[in-house]
Amino acid sequence: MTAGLSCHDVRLLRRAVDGTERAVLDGVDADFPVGGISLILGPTGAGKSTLLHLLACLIRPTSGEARADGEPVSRWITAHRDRWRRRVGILFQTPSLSPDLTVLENVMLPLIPRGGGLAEIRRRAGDCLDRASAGHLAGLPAAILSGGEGQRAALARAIAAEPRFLIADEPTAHQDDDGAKIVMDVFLAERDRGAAVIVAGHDHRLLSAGFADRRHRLAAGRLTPLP
Amino acid sequence: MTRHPLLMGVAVMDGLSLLFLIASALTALRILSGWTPGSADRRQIELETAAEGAALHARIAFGFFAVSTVVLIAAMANALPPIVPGAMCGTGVLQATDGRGGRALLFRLLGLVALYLWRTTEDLNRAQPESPLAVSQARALLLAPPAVFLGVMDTVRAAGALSSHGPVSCCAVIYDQVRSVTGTGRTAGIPDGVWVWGFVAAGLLLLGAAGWAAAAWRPSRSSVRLLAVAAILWAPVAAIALVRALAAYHYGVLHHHCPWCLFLVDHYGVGYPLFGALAIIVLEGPAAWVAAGIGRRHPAIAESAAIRIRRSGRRIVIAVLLFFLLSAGPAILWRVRFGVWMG
Repeated sequence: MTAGLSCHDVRLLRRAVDGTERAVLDGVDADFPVGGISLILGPTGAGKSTLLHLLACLIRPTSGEARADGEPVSRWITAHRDRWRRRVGILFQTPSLSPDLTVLENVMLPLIPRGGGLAEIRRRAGDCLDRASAGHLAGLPAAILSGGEGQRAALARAIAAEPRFLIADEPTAHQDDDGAKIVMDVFLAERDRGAAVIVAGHDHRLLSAGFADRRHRLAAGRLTPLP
Repeated sequence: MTRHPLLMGVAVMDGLSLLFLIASALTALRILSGWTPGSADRRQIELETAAEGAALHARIAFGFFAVSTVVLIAAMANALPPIVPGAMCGTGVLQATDGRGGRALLFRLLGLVALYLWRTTEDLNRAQPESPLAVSQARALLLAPPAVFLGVMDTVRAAGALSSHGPVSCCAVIYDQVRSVTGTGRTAGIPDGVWVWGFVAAGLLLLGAAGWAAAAWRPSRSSVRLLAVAAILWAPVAAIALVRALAAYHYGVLHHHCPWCLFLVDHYGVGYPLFGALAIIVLEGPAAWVAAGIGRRHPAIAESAAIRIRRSGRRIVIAVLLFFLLSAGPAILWRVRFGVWMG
């Protein structure tokens, strides 16, 4: 059994308007172990976001399966997949924060169903914001954040529940160099905590920083390891 | 044909129920013909997705069918008697349907039992992430469509036969049963007193079995079987004892053996909780038995099955107590008040 996330012969077909099917992912096999950072590179439209959504079991593959710690989670009944997803922190390509809530409240949200006192939840959310260098934004409405600030707030939300699997889609797309370093430091800390960190992007800084333990390239629906 | 709004509502809900049920039954057939959990090929993944959709469709079908059955009973008991000449309760309405109404209710009960047993299987299937009961669930689901279809068809025929012009004799149906003095106090050749004592004794046995199932950590197979058999046998005995003897204390009349009058406002609609409790008992007894069987065959589900059996036990205890309270309670009050039993 592999500890971490893995894909086994995953194919994902999308039907075009004319009825023809196009393989977005075509026989993807890969392991993303815990305690490691895996970087998925590839051009825009290569299917990186789709692969991450599939690993987070937000979508089902057409064939094949995504496994978590050896369990075929992608084939589980929806209610079980939803429960399993509590162990996953997801940083989407767009921050997807609730605009009517403050930044702190956004980060507190995923902690509320997990129980614990409100003061403890607030403290943990504040800590996560500090780790993402967004502590000074805590009291601001999420609607007024810039792209980079929103992305760091979303990162704080993704790590708030100490996920076993952290999935990040283009996490540095809106960051300047300092912001990108902050984001990568958070990933390193999460890896050291024992999480499986999977990052997709086409930002050259991700590759040049050399922080990833494994690198893959996704092109034409196929995932190939990079040296 | 009577176009009463409640009957129209029943027709719409029945139609929707049938549509959802047919959709889920088609998927159930696909599951039976090619469920291969060991494979992750496209056909199997599509089937797994379809199975989840089918379960949702069947739940919706069950919901519509259950609600439409309750609405149909309410229509027959309370809404239609005023427009059927001579009818004073559901008995007259049933008479006006040329017997199709009774058959419709019977098929509806069978359909509801089948769907409830399917739902029990489905709930246990959902306890595990990998759908270990997909095939059993598909088989259980396929039991329902014939009964539901026949129930719906007979409902349509009954509604079509229902005439607001041809008079019926509601009371004649009831009082014809007691024309001869010798037949007055007997049902199926057994004195009504025996039915009542049988109802009390079997009810206590059922209460004990249900209480045991509700309290035991892992109810044994034999105790659950006893619970299921007792529940199924007790329900008709209780219904006979109610209609033949105990209803008299609600009516204040000795020989008015009509189940439908209990649904009237004059009697505070007591028929709804009384027959509702019987329905719960008839549904939960077999559900506990099904859960026990599944728990035995699938050790991974044994804990969930035990929880389900305990839940059935609790529901049956509550339903039996409710039935005792509402059926025997007025008789005991009468006895305390007047010092004698009626009849």
